[in-house]
Amino acid sequence: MKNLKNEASRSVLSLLFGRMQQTARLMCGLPDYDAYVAHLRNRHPGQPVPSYEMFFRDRQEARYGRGMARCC
Amino acid sequence: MTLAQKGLWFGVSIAGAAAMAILALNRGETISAMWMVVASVCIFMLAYRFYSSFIATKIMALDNTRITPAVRINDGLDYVPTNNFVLFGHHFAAIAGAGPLIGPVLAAQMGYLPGLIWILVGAVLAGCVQDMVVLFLSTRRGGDSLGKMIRNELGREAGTVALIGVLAIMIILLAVLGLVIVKALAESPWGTFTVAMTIPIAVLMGVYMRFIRPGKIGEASVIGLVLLLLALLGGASVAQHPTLSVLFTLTGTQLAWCLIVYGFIASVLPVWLVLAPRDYLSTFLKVGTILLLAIGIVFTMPELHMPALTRFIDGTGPVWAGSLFPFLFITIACGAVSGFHALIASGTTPKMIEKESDIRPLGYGAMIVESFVAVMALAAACILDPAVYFALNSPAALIGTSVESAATAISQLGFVVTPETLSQMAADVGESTILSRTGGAPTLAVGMAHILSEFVGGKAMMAIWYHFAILFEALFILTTLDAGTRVARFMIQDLLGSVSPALGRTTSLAGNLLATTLCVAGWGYFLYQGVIDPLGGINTLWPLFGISNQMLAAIALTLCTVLIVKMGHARHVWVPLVPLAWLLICTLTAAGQKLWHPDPKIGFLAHANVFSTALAEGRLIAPAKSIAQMEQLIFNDRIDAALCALFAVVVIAVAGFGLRTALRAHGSIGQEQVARA
Repeated sequence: MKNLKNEASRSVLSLLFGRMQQTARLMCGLPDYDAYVAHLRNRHPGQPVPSYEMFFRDRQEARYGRGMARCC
Repeated sequence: MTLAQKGLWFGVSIAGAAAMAILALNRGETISAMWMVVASVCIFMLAYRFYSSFIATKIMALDNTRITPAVRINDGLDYVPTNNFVLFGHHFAAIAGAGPLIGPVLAAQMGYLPGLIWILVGAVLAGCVQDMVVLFLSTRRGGDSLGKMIRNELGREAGTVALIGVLAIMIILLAVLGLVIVKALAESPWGTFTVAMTIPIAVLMGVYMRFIRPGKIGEASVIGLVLLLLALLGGASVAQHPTLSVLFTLTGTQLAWCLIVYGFIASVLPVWLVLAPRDYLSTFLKVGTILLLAIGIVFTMPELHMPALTRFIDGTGPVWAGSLFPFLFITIACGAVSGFHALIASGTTPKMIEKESDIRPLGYGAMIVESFVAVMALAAACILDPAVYFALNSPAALIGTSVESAATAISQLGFVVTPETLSQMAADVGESTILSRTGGAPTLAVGMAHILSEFVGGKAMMAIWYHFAILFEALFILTTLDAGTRVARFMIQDLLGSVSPALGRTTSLAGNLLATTLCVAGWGYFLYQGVIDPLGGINTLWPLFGISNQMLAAIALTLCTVLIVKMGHARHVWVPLVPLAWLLICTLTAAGQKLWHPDPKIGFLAHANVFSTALAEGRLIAPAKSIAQMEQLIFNDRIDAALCALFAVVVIAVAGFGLRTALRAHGSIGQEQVARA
């Protein structure tokens, strides 16, 4: 019983940490890599999956590309 | 609503009303800044709970069974259904900028009350409504941008006019933010050294994230932050070093040229090298410092020393010229209502919304937080001794350049101060002088240093906190400057592309360099003109920026009004129409006064007349030292006037297109109803 509770709180913590990391990355315009990989696997099974590095480079270019608005 | 809930909301209303009454009726004695916090929190809670809910259910009719673009398109990159809280962080980081920190500081010359009331009323009825409705409209239209929605809904001409307007506001925004940095760093070796160090730090982070540990934003940011704090501490030694301090003591014009060259280079280089890493660092520092300031205010509960109202509501203030109406309402643009947010709310955020009910916390909620930042900035300015505030914000032409002349001039304004107080304040914050450090950033930094040093470190830490605050502001203003230059470059390339397709291609080096040069020359011109302006430049540029930002808000609210009529909600059209009408009245009155006001401190053309009359009589007026400089100043005034007229024409044109579309839509809906009956 105690173990279960510990495990539950650990998974809550890791979820919280994951969300915080995701928030921090998205603030810099970097979407969730795992979600992208999952999306490719589900919807485009034949396509090659880019490495995190390639994904990062691509998104970095995109953030400062055409049409990005930046506030005063 | 249960009885307990009714009781709770009744309590919130009473608390908010009581805090507001204490703030408004207080005369003579100092009260705690906490009352500002209490009043704002209560009003924001009520507005969110009731007004945003009314708009969400009665007008937008948010419906979670409708599929959002994120769910429908879901490409894993731009369109990704994203958790509400995660997306809130993204959206807030995108809308939070320097605007809400600077406008309220400048508005403090009229006392704390007018600024506070406008921030609260403006946010609740205009700013939050605009952000939320635009976010909603864009979400329902597949994440379309503001420009595209205007083109589709109001017609092609309206779209083109709006595009020109957005480009003009970008240029003015970049110039005025550049001016704020120049004013904060001029003759300050500590500040200049620290801010200059952000460039090599960014390059180091960029190389780290590219080659050493690819894509590790967190690690690179921690390294960057540590180096930044070292640079901050090192700045104190640099300021005392005999040769280094000379090297980093730059005049306003030197700094202006540095910024212009920097802006050009940083926006042309590959983004991973300087632009992106600096952006990451400034994003985290921005959010962290805002939190720190909020905690600091709540824990130290500083007293407000600025009166509720000063006599400068009549328009004779030294910080900026012009009476309360209309100029207060354009001085505080961001924080109350910011047209720029309409670009963000129709940018990346609508493409990531998971379900429609998230639109309310994202649109209305994030703007409430942004307004709260503006309230904190106002508080930070108003806890200062008013004499110190006016010493910081009055141009040298009015208070002279010595503490003695400043103390005399400011005492005559009604805020008695000794020269020793002014030199002691400069010593406390580690600067050679605090006189005429206009532009808002140094005032905010002194206020933050007061609050944060009381919270951590005491008086000994005040100089470090001051330079930390300057660094925090300069860092994200510079990020706006380089990224904004890049965005404006793409806009100019779009326009160039319609003339010569070769120049429009973003891969074309010639097109890239030409568009960047045009953009940097545009904001550089206004920046340079502001730096040499004897009245401080802010007096000229900030109203232009405010007018342009409110103009953009008026354009966005025109779109909201039209689409609400099109949706068949003409009965509720007052929701966007009332703030729209107010913004039109304020921006057009302000633009009219900036053009034709007989007082040369306010009217551009009156100012040009003073100089051209003198020129005809063969006299020179400071700061001009030659006939050519006199002619240059007259030319500058006319350019400012032309820009102001352009803003007025743009807003009138878009409002006209909107009215035409709304009437047509209302007519056809009316006919349908008749036909159905």
